[in-house]
Amino acid sequence: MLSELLQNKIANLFKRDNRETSMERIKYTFESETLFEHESDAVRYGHTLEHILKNISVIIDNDMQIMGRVAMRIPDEKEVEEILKEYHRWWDMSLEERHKIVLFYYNNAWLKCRPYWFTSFGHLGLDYEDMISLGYKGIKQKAIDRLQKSCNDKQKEFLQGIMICIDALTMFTKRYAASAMEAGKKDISDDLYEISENPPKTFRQAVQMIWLNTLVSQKIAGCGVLNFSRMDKYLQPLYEADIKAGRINRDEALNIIAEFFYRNNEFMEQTDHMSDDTSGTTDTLELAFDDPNYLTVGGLNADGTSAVCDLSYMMVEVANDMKLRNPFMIVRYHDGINEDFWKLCCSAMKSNATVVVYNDDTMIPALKYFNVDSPEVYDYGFWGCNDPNIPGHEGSLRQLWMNMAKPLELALNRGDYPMEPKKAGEERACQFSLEDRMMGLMMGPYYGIKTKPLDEIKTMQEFLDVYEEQFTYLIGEFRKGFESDLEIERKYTFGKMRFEDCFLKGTIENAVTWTEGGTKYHKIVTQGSGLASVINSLYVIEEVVFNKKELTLSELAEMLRKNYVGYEDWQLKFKNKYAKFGNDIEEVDKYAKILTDIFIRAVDKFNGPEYLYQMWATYSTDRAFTLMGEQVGATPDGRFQKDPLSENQSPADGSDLAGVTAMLNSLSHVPFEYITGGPLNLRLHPSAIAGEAGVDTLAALFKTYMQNGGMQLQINVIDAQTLKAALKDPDKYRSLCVRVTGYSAYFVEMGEKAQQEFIERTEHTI
Amino acid sequence: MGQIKGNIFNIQRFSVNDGPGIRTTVFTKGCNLRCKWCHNPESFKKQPQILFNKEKCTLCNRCNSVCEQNIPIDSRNKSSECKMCGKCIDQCYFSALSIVGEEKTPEEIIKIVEKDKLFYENSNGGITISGGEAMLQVDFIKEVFRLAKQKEIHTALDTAGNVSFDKFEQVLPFVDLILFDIKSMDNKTHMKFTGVSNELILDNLKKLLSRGIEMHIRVPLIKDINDSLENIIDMMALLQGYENVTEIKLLPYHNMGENKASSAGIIQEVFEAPSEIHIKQLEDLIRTTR
Repeated sequence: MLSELLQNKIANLFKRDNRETSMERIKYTFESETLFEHESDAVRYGHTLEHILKNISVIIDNDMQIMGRVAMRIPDEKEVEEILKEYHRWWDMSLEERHKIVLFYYNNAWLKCRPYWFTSFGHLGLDYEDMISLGYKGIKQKAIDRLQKSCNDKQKEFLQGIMICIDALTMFTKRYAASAMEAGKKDISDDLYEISENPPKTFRQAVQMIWLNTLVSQKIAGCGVLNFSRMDKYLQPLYEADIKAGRINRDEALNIIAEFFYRNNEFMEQTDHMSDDTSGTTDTLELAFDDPNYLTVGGLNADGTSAVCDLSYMMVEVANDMKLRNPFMIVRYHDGINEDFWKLCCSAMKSNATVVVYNDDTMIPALKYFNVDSPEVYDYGFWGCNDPNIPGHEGSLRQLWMNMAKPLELALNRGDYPMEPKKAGEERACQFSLEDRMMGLMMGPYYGIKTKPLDEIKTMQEFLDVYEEQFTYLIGEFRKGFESDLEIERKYTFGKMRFEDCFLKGTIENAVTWTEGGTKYHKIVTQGSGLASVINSLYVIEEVVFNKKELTLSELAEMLRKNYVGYEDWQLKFKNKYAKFGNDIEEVDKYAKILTDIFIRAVDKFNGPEYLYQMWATYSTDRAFTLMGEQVGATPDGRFQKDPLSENQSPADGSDLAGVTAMLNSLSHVPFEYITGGPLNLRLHPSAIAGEAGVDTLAALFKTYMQNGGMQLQINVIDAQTLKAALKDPDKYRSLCVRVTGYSAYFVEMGEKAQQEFIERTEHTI
Repeated sequence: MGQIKGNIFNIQRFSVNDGPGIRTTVFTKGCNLRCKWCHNPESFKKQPQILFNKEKCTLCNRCNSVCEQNIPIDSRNKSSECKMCGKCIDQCYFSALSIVGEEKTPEEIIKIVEKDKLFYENSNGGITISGGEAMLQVDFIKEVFRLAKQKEIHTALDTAGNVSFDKFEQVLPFVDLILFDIKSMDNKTHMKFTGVSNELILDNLKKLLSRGIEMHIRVPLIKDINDSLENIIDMMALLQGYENVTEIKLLPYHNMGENKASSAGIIQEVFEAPSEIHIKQLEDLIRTTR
């Protein structure tokens, strides 16, 4: 059970105003722009961090054990105006110019707050294991040692930058220690002094160190969306030693975990960052404001043993007690998982804690397929949204939402895009515009290659070949654009050290940033989007054109171009009379494998040792399935033009009617041993898993899916009635936390569109 | 065995209320009781029938244009002239019209049931055959159960028990668990609300109890009809001492069958569920008298 103190603090979180901002950070960041502008990039970065950490308030909470938060207040209108003016000055420029500075970004709201000389992209799995075993002193020593070896000027600057950053963290931790002493908290102060340079010696010290580091990385350096990776595993030795020495008992440790989790929620806003129609998202002045941090528990070790330990249980217990957005907890299932632990996890999921499951038995083979080596493959985890990460071994996120409905449309139109047909003579250097490459989205018209006339396509296999040609072409175009971008990056942004370069494997050792290749892995998360929409469409094509021969391919294509106008009966028939993915029907489900094979072959063709970045395939749309749908004309599954695509791995809206086991059996047809992430959302009516027996049901349901080759599951146990009640009376449901895609959100804080999407998910009952 | 076929009206996967674990429940069509509160009224008749869900109908008229008998849409579900050709259903794109009831062989049933075998294994679940009255198609269900046992799938039979005992004798070798429904211990009430006497039913119950096979007793609970303390006390007296009864479950009335009834052209009386306090009282009574 949570302490009353934390319960009250949590209740207060929901009363906070989303306009609250860490104004100190903004003030000292602004100051630093001119203070160090004549220094080299890395040194300037370090000095900026140092300047901010020297000046911002350190806050000791007398009622807490884990210290560290930033002062927040609501800025007045004039302040906001002034800040925004600076942001505009930083980023109002042509896309080409901006590209030279940031290369990759998510959207304007996200980019706007980031100082151009002090930019990090977040989405990071730092090497926490190294951090707590070496301490800041040890990490600095690595840089000192590396300086003794041959270095060019850039490398010297880089290592200097690293040392300044580490010193700044040490100084900041000491400031906390001094304040704690002043506040009469000697034991806390001693902890802080210890970890300011040395590796932590106790469980509490380790948690404190990771927390203060997180506070700086996230709220000062803007590294949102961290992967704490297998925290149970790397903290267990310290916990065990404490227990053995009688320094701590289980309840005290639970409380420390609870404080750590609480801090992760306290320093974020409660908004849903993927809803751009909510004010918190558009108006925020914060660098990292509401995107969750991930934490992994359990899973296999390289030697085949299970990593489940005392702390795994305790972390799930605390997540269950809290039911907050953060951290986003991943439980790694594997064959032979401890039954008690598995039941505990299912019980937490049943009560809507932010806990989701991934399957080691597909994830590890999939990551190995994309050349991730042992032993680090066994430490895999995730950051948002559901993107795989090898902690410590790679830097930040690059992503592409591969809209799989686009090549389908191209295949049916010989490479043309009916909603905006290609003009005669129009040629592009690359189908992906610069903006699309930077965001990873495929917006507007994409033209393919001129594949053979539809009348010449005589079999389904021939059609699939054409689809594959278009699919492969688009992936190739992305690769082409990406590589030319990388050339620009080499010229303009290499050598720019960032916070995370202090805490990754290979960066200090090689004295280069991770972007330059300091780390072992670099990936582009390649998110296959529209899985069910495309599967359903392929099935209709096979049935209506090649099996029943009711329509020719040309006739079908014509209907789609007309958005079914004049063909209303066919639209209804396709939508309601043809079997759909998600009902355990072999004839439809076989396309899950066929489509995945096409996807993987296309990705494979443009991966290889000649590229720094490798594409890793996932099945994930995040919440962009609506946006992606807007880019695609009508499809043969009876979907009208611009309607949303199917969400993540789910069957198309409301089309899975044969029960949840049937739905899961359909999904098992995806060869997940090639897929490295992405969510399957499942909404269960509370009555389907009521009572104690419900935990057993859920445990069996999930386990079976995993044994059948499923990869991931995340559930919401909630009925439509409750959701509708929450819409009516939001104040009563402030803490109703739901899993959206790769993050949880408070339902009443989600935008209207997201709320509607959520309510429309199939509600599995019995 | 030749080609035995069963008349069934639904195969429900991920059933969690018809016996232990995750189950697939096969509902047979045809019943020799007419419980006024029945939540599966489309199972009364053995023959397939047309269901018409008025709420889903958009009045698009496609169905009327293909009906060779010219039966208007709103009376197709009760018309004796309907030849069940199914053409109107093909034309209905809104799931307003559907046929309930189809013939399936035991092999076809098992093929579907088998798909969730691993779910059963992990949850101690299996197959349940319910109704309607499953025992009216004893040859068929016996074969389904036999095939299930062959595949090592746990088997449960849900019955109201109104058939001669020799039929039970036929299926018992292949059944692991019986879900036995008791509507009322009072014969007059039983006659009035189910249309049949409970004598044979209770007689069968006693015989099954003494066989030692695992049983769950299920009582649909309807306010002012069978929710008296007396009814429960009488029932508990009958069950006294039988350790093979591993569960006694009260199932409070719900009116979800009403919509299905009107779709099937049946006008159904509306009942009430007992209050939650009263249900709890009865549950306590069961617990203390066991």
